[in-house]
Amino acid sequence: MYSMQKRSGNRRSVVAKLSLPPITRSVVYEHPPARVWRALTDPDLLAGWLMRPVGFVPAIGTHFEFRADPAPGFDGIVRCEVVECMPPSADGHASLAYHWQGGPMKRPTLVRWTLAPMDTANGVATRVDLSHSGFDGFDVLIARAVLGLGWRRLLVRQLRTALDALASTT
Amino acid sequence: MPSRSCAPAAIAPGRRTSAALVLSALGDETRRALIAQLTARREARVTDLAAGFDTTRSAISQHLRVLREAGLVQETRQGRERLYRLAPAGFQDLATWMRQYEHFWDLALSRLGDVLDAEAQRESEVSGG
Repeated sequence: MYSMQKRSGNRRSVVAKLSLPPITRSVVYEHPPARVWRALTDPDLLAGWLMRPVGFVPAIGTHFEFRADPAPGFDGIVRCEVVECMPPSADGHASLAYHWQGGPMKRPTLVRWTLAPMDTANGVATRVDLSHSGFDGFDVLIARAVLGLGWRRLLVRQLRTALDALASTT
Repeated sequence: MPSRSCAPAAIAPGRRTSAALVLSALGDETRRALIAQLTARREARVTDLAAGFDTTRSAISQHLRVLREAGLVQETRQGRERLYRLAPAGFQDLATWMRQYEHFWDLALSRLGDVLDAEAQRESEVSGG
């Protein structure tokens, strides 16, 4: 989102900070949490829906990579580190998070999965919440004077429009 | 596997990945400072811009070239002078890049459903003998 920050003690007292909103998704799968957890942590299953992991084990501190075919601007490698790992508890709640850095990212972003059991007419299901955040590694220090006039407002408005369009798709 | 063709940056392979250029261009402190300067002035010459930095004019020209190639800055000639100003449309590429990433996750989540169904099938076959 677009936000203004005040920096006290700085000559440039007002800066505009452009940080991109997180990507969030919520999906219910008619499968028990244990099976979903396996799909999130078993390398062969991961390769079937996300990318082929190299060196992944579900344990905090593990450094691993996801590998895909290279493309322009992307060497095919996403560098990751497990930072949170809670296998399904007795009540079926679980979470898994890893740093995610690939392509043009200068800093790692964060991919976080949370699993919550649900009862449906067809039996047990799992609500999966995905959050991919930390895109503020792309912050742009836009100006000390974004509050100014005319074309500057235009710039701000265009940025805001672009970001609102983004936000509305989530 | 389907995942092979769905790496985030590979979604629009036909297009030179301008978001990568933008992010790379913005990854440098001097260039971010130049963006800030250009936001504070409507238009500026290299000489004006270079005045604010402890670096050579030609280094500033190089940075401006990177910003121009990323589509963040445009250059116009006025007589013998080159004038630089921001090109806001360049920032749109960031938004486009994010949309591609969203698309990547939507595809992945959809494939996750397929993988789970296949796993359930396999499990029932194993347990069923």
